[in-house]
Amino acid sequence: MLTNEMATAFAAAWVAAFNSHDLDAIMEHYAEDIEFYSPFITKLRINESGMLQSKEELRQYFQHALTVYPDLYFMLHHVYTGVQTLVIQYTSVEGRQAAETMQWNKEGKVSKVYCHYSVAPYS
Amino acid sequence: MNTFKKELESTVKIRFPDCDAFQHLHNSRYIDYMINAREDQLLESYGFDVYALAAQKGVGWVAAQSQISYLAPAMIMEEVTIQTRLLTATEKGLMLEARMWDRDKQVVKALLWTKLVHFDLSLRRSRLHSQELMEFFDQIVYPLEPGVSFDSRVNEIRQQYLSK
Repeated sequence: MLTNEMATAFAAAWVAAFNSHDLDAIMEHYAEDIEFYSPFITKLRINESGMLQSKEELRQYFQHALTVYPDLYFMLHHVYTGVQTLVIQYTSVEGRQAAETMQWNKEGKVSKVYCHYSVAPYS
Repeated sequence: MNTFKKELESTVKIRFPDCDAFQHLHNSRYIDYMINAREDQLLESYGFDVYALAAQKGVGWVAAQSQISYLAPAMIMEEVTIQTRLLTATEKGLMLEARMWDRDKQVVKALLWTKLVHFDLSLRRSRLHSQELMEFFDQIVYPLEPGVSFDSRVNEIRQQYLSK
């Protein structure tokens, strides 16, 4: 069972991995059968559906994102725990507020993600 | 909503190059040990990486003032526990407290208060904290009772230690 302590520790490690721009460390958090939904997938012209369905696709997407946003730095604000799910609220790229809903599998890896973003404050 | 731990703690071993002829941690090195511990704790507990922030956003903090009280020696190869907390966070800066103990927190060895000023590394001048930084600090700040001075805090911690 995902506890508050586990969710908070996971969120801190997840943010630290992105802030280090270490793609291997980032990918450690995701399951092989990941389903990933984000409006940035269409924004960065990865595909039109906004959905990725494999870990390799996700890796390529994150690699592209790190190239497009060399100053990427996430700032953790809140963590919410559910039943094998968590929500991480943080400041993302372009100053946008973001909330990601993540579903955990039995191995403690994320198997499904729904990303949500505010409008960029400078747009 | 989960709450973040506000008082962070880690252990570290006192190393030979940091000691004086008496095999005590040199006075000048206490601050380094406590600030290093704080940086590690921020990364582990909040994913907050001060060096990535400097590299990617060009901002950081500089120490404007430090007060330290040495209460007991830290010995060579001794494992010590370091506790840290953010006492205040304003638009301009931060006040950090760090306490060094023996491993089991029975003997307090030092108390540090450091005032940090937010700094723009490219413009090389102080700046105000961004809104997102202030929101982050609001989650982790852990103030003392109003009116507590450094000296009264030293006495308070000493009393806690003596009562153990």
